[in-house]
Amino acid sequence: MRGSGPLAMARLRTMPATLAIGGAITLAWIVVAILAPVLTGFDPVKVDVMQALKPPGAEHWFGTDAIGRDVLARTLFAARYDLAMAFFGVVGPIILGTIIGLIAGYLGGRIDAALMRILEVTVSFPYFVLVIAIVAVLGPGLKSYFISLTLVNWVSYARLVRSQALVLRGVDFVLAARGMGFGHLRIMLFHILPNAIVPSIVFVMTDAVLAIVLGSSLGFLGLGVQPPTPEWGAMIADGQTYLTTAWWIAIFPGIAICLLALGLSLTADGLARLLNTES
Amino acid sequence: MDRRVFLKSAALAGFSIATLPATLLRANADGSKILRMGYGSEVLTLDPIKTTYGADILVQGMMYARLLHANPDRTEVGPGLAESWDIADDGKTYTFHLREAKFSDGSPITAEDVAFSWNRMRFQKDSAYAAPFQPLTKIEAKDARTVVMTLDRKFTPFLTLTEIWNTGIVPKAAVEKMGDDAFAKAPVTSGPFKFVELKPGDRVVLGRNEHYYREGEPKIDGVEFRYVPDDNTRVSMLQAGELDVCLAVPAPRMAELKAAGFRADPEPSSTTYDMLINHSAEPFNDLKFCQAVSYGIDRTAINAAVTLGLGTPASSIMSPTLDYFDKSLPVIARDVEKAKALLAESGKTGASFELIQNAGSADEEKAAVLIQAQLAEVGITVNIAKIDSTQAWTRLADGEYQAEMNWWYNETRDPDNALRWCVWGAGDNKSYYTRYNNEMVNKLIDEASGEADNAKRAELYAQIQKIVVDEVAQVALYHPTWLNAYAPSVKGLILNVGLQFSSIGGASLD
Amino acid sequence: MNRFSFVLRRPIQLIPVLLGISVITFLLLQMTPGDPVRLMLGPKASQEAIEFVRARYGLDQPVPVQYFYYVMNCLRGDFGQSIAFRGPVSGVIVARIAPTVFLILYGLVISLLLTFALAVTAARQRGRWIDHLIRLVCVAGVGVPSYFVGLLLIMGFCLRLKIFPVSGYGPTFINNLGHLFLPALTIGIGVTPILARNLRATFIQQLDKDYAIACRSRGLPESYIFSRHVFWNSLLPTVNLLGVVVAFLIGGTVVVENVFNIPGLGNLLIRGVLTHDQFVVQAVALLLAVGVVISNFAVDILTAILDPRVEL
Repeated sequence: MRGSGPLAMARLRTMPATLAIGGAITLAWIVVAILAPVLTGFDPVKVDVMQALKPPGAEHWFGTDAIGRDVLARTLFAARYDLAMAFFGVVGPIILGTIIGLIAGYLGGRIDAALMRILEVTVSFPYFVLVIAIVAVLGPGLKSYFISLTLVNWVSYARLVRSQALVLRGVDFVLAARGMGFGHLRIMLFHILPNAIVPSIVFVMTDAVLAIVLGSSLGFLGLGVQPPTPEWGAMIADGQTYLTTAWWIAIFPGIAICLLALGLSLTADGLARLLNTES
Repeated sequence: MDRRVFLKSAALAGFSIATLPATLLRANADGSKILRMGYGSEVLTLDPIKTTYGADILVQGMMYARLLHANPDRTEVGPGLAESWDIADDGKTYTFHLREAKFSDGSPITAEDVAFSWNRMRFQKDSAYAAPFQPLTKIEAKDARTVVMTLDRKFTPFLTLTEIWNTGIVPKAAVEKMGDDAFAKAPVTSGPFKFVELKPGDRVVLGRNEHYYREGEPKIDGVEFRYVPDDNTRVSMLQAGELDVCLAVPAPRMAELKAAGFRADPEPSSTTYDMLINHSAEPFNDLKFCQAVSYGIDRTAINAAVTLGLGTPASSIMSPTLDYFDKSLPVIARDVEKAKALLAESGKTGASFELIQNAGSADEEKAAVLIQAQLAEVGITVNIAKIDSTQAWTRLADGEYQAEMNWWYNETRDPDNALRWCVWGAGDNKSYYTRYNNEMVNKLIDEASGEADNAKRAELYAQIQKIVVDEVAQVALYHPTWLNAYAPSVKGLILNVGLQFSSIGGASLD
Repeated sequence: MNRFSFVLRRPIQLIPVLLGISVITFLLLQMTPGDPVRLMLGPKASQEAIEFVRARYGLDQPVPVQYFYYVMNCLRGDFGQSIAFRGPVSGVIVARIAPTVFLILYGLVISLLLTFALAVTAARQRGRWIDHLIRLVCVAGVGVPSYFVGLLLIMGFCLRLKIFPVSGYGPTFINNLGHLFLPALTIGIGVTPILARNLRATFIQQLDKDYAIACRSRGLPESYIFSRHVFWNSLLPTVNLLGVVVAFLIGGTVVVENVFNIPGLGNLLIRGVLTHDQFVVQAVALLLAVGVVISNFAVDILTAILDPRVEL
């Protein structure tokens, strides 16, 4: 068993550098997303054809795009949508996956076998394709993206939680709780879950990176947010045509997405070290 | 394995791949003159009657000869497989006299084949585009060299229709023997090129048709028509020498290609880019509202932003390249006050509508976002809905839409089929699915097509254009040009207004 | 029991998975609004022609009936007709298998080369600046979107330096080493960070094991210990991870094939979904799923070969 509590608070005093830096970058992006209207005087959806394709300069720091929208404003405001993709892209899966993993691992038997068949089918599907197919059914947009990710991405969490629950259901304190006549639900929620969820917490950051990459890929393919909403993947797609003549349209959102992903990856790396689950 | 050996071999492998001579990597290094074209949509069928899809039309146009032949820019249609023709005095009977010519398999092209091809196109159930040929009621082979066609009314545009792609001549014997499906996969052709290979969703390879009837044509050995869905990849391929012709270049890249020595001049097109509106649904079921939208839109700004000035803002619903285009119609100037007043009169203050836009089309997205911003100033809320084109088309056809970004082109310079396509309420497609239906316009279109006098036709078409602009049959935005770029080695090739390479026979490749 | 008896069990386990996938794909495409025939005949096609073609492909039948016919036909080896290409699905798909398989294997080879180079260097230089640099690169690399990498590679290598072709798939093996190098590199860059981090961690673990310490105390050189023992003992966890990575690669080809215009399965699939080409999507999804299962299977066998203790 892991130390005193699930988060092993005792280890916090040796916070890894990666966690500090990654956390700072991620936090900075969250602040940018919230304060976007304060940070820039430009409206991200305001078009001005006369100001189209202006290179970075004193007025427009990151230049303007093909219909004269300020690239800086769009890049900053896009953080809202891309962060939302990262956040909601993992919230749905972690809830669904944890429930399924907990039930499968704790109850075992036929229920486990049935759930694992469903899991197998989902895993065997080419991931990206399933998401695209679901988005095609529901129509492009953030909502369809969240639904599709939840339906596809729960498997990682189900696997992690299930493998922990399988072990935990046989350990002393769980057996003791059962001996005391506690119900299954109570045992699952209060005895198994807090311990079984630790690997998922580490994985969640890495998963958030994948969620951003996937979400912006959809934007890049034209299946993401509805225009004129700014989103980094869609902005890169917009700027693709201008890569040789107006590089700033695609490059700045490209850098932004790499930076946010770096922040989240570093956080993931640091969390893994902190919770000592790297192996 | 020793680490050093391992790393060394890894480095070596990487190095040897990186230094493979570039020529080795390119196709067609054998000296044959194959023209490589890249286009954004793929060829789906090689049977000319089974499609109205852009890529199919382009390729089929190079494979099948027609009764009449268009000059490169399609300003004239002249003798093709038909050496000459007579029109009866009542204007209802056309007699075509065929020249001696052969199919790509060496068999002769007879009047039987012509009648067979035309009957298929006109009467076969799954013929996709029989609509422009409504007046045609009978096609017969009178003798081995003569074909007679009978119309039920006087129909002036008929001759110009005998050049469009789906009237291409196919061999009766081969089609009957193979069946439609098999023929479409390995067709025998009558045009400048014969069929070599079809890789579905990748490319069509055509070779020189040695039996082609036009002396000395084609000058090149073949055409490779490749499907490259991504616009920028297609341009990159041209720049890297992997294509000789890049069709449908994004407007922002034309200047760059021209500067790099490619022939990248805009070519006249019969296309109109527009916002289709559903006249049978809220809020466009009210003329004043339609006019408010029309006055609220800045066509000049949209044209400038999307085509970068390579197109022209729309004044008429018809492209300026069509005959009888009314030059006196002005481009509607944006007038926000007038638009607001019209909106108030319509009683739809605060109205909103959903504007459908095809996912993946950068131009449509730009135009849609501009319309959204411009109409916001009038007080109309536009919600853009980006959906895939399959859904977009279905919703359009089913009338389950309010507004949609769209475009259409015309095969001929004669405006008859253009107008029948987009504003003729009596048609199968309900005025390009806008449900616009004005009896007066329908009558005028019929009248104009039966009129032989040029001046009178011009007058009738001017009248029609004025009505449909006033009544906002569709919100015409701008008339783009075809944006294609050709490698310097490609000579004498242009795409004409009707989306055809009529010049392919005389084109050469250095 | 024979350690390899699972070989026989696998195909049987595959059946419910494939059935599940086919049902889900079928339902998904049925739920997608829009008529594929209208798109395929083009904008100007007449209503009559559209109805005629719809009926010909059985699209006017009730959904369960369509599915029933589909399954029955599959059992006879007929995987349906492509609506867009107006022909048997098999004819459309077969030519596309090779480019995708080539791309995935090539990407895998490139990523393994990169992985070993990075992990070996990092582990041997543990704690020094180069180790930290590699770790940082690996951490950062996870989140770089492949479409962005692809764009930059095309800019640099195809347009500026003109070393590689932008696109496509050539007729010969050598030809394709060039054609598919950049796409494979893009894919490789995508998965290398995950693999390299894991492999490094395993190397370090092994370097600290008793046997390594014992070797060191006997005065054996570090390079000898590494290449004779540590290297081989570290392969197992990486091989296990490979199974996951291949599944990831199979999904990743969709975007990469699009950016580099490779006529492969991913490209076909995305188009199939967007044009609602039902049976093409069914067949490709099933094929890719079989690919995922086969690669997991290969990983199991490799694991068994590498580690005799593994119970299967």
